[in-house]
Amino acid sequence: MTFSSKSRRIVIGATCYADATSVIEIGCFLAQSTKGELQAVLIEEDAVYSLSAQPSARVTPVGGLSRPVTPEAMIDAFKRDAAAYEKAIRESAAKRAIRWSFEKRRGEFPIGLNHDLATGDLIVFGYQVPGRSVGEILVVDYADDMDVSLVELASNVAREMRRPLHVVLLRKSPEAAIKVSEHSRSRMEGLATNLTIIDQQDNLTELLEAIRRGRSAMVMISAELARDIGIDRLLDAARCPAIVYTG
Amino acid sequence: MSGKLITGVPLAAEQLCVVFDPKVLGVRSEAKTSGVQGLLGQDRAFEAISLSAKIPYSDFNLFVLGRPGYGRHTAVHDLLAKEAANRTVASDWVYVNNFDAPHKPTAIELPAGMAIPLRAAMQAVVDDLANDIPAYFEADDYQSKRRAIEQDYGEKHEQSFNDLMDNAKAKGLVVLRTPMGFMVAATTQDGKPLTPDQYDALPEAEQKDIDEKVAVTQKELENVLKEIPKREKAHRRALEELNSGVATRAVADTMAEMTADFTEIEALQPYFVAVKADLIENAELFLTNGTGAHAGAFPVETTKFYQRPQFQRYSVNVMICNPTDHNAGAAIVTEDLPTLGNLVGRVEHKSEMGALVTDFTMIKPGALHRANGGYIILDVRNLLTEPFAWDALKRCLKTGQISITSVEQRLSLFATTSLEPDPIPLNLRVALVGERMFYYLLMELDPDFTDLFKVQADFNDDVFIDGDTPKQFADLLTGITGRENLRPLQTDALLSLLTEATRLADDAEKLSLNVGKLSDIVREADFRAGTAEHKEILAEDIDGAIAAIEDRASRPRERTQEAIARNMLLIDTDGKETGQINALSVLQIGDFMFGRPSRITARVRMGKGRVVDIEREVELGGPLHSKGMLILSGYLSTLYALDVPMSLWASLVFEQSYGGVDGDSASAAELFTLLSALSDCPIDQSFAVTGSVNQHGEVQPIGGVNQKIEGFFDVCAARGLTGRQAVLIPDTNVKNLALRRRVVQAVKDRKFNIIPFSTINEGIGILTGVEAGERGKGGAFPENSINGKVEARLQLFARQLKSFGSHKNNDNSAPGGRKKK
Repeated sequence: MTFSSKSRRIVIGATCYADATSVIEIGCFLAQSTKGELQAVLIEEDAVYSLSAQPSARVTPVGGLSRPVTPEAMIDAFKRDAAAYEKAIRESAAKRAIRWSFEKRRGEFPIGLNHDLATGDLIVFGYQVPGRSVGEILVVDYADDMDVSLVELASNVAREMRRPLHVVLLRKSPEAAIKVSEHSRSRMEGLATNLTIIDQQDNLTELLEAIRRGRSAMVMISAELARDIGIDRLLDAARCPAIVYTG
Repeated sequence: MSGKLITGVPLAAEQLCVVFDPKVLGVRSEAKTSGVQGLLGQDRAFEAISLSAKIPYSDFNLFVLGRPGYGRHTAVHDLLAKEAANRTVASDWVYVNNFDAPHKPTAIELPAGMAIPLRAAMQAVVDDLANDIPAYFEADDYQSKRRAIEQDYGEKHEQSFNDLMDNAKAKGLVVLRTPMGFMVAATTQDGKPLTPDQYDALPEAEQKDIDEKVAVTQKELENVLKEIPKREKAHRRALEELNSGVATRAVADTMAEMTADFTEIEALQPYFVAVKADLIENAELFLTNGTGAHAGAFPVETTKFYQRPQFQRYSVNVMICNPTDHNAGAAIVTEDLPTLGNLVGRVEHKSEMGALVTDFTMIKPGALHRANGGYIILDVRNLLTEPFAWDALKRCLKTGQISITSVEQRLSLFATTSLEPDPIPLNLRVALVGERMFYYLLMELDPDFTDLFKVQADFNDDVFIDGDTPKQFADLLTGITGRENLRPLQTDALLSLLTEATRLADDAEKLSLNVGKLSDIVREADFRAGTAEHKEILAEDIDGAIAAIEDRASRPRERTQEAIARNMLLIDTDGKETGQINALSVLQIGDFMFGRPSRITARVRMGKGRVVDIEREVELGGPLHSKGMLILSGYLSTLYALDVPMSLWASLVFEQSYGGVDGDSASAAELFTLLSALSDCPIDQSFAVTGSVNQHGEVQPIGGVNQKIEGFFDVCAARGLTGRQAVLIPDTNVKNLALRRRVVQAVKDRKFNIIPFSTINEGIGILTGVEAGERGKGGAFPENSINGKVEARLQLFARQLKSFGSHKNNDNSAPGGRKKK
């Protein structure tokens, strides 16, 4: 597939097919609704390969029957997952008539997805927790200069996933004004089920704790806030797929 | 024609054709009536049809036999329809889905008139549920319960997994997801997985500590992941139970409303139970119907959901739907094209993705279904010429069930899976209509036939003219005009038709019951009346139609007459010749018969007592002709020269006949020719003769007497009638005379004659003008009589033969040459 550098990109990434399934459909939806191009990535984590080489390495699938693992077996498993991932992308993309591409990368997850991003791109991090099927769409951004289009995008996602939308805005300091226009505010209030404005703490701990407690179905976050939090901390707290909006 | 018939004397014109007195017609109404529907003279058949129509036994099916055109179809239909009207209307039948075995659709019997309401009710159920079920599942009540279940199970799933992750984190471990499952690994200070090199660099105690922690966490991970499938199963069960409960409420409400109209029909209750269970189990079909607020041009509420493929399983295939009025009577069906499919029904298929598929909705009824509980009329010729149709009908009658099969199945051509629908019980009376040939063939060759068709209704071809018969016949003809909406028949027209009916019956004492032929004449006459602007059909219209019908078919006759007129065929109609006579034969081409004279000649000489039939010698003579020849040989041998061996050699031939000759109606003529040759007495060529002879010299009746007479008459008329010309006919054929007007008029004008005769002696006397002669007290015939001369000749042959020695060396040499006079 030809990939145009001028198009908005929706990059979806996961370390395995199981995690990818949590974001394939929403990724294709985003590509279709934003007229963007989908780039699917399977991250083959270096750590997984090196751990597979350990004599004591074991893997445990759902069902609880653990077994030893070898690098060769892991290589085969990554190949199978890549094939399944690509097939799923192809089928979903065909239904929505979107352009797409697929690649495998060695590296770290989630930072391995942050390559050649441009403003407007969306990065979707696949993450599946066994059993979680409920939850709201959580949008998190700084209250200062926030982009309502993120909320609008999140609203589309919420409608597609048939989930309620919760917008959480952070004030960087209690004294900082909330530079959210009345128009934007009323639009957000119209789109969201909940709108929360909280004061940012120095270490963002409270925000992460709120995210962890929220048990969201998906978190959408601005690139700036994601950078400040750290995407791996965000994923660890949210334990659900996350979408980073680069504006 | 009353009084004793005098033979040897020409008949009067009144004896040649029946002329009916208008009084026999009784009082005629000017109004058109439907008339007697072809039952005149068919009492036997009527009784048989009535018996078959009423008797309850299933094997008393009916075969109506007779000739085409004699009103069999109309009569049997009218009689059966009358009986059908007195019977109760039959049940309705439907096919519905068998949810447990879809390839075996279920047949359900319903009270008459309930099939279509049931179908409509099921369609309404589907439409209602298509609107209701989504509403139930979108209701806040359901959504909140579903969220509660998902939340509850989600929490259980997540909590244990999150606890594991948190515990692992607290121990400095991380749980990684890989394509093969989860993997526990130690981490560095910044939370990244420990590489092997980093691990190896650690002190042994720390390594051991890490190993222990990993082992414990690994165990915890296994326990957590082991529970996931169980919880997911429980989660699914909980959702299913919730969905089932919601669906049950929705379905129960809708079904209760619908089934209230059918509570009295016990046969439906098991089906309703099955439908309800299936609707509940497949409630998601109603959730994936793709409807939305903007679905199509019409509001969602009026969309015909029952037409969608996923809901076909709930449709009702109406096979038979009868009127609800119980006085409507049983069905009576005439199937004109009794193919296997048209008769027993068929299972249709449609192509999907290159394969042929079918289901219970594609079962189509046949004529047996439509007639079930009543009567079906089939033409046996049509039935027997359709592959497997006769066999299928017999099978259904024997089993008492309608089994749907196809030609492809019978020939094992179908590899595609088909259906095995429940057979529908058959309660039917079958009436086959056909010619006698078929009845007797089936009786002879098909053992099933006699078991299944125990009643024969044999239609008479004609009826004697007595009592009210002419009046009833006139009513029948009037009925034709009524049914066909024709002009009324004037009295003279009716009388002409009666006369024509005797002609068709070939009998002056009978009327033909060939209603078809008479109907054709009446309709053509009506057309002629219209052309001539008559308000009624007149006798001239009838006569014109009859003449036109004959004329259209008379090309072969005209060619024959032309050949005779041009002396291409040699026929004498005056003068005298020895050993030569005009015989008469009749030819039938299609449905047209005509007569023509044929010359027979005889030559005689001494011989070994053999009469050579040249036709037989060259294999142009059929067996009946040969029989006639042998009979006349017997007559000769036992009447003349009994004290000497038969020393005759004679040859007889039909001159200029190059086609087959059969029948014995010319045996009298052949004998006359032989007697003329033997006696050397010439025969008057003004005469033509027809008649069969027995060994006693008695003349027997023949067929086609009218056509034979007219054939000779036309030859004579073409040359100019002399007043001497005549046709000799057996006296027993006088009752068959129904001659055309031209002949009757000629006889009336004394220009032509019809002479009945009863014995050979009588006939030879008329033909030669010489008495035949009877044996006297001395046993001898009078010397100058025909018989005397014949006997003298035979005795001469005997003496001649004796004088030439052994009979064995005599050959069939050339006949003695006697010049023609």
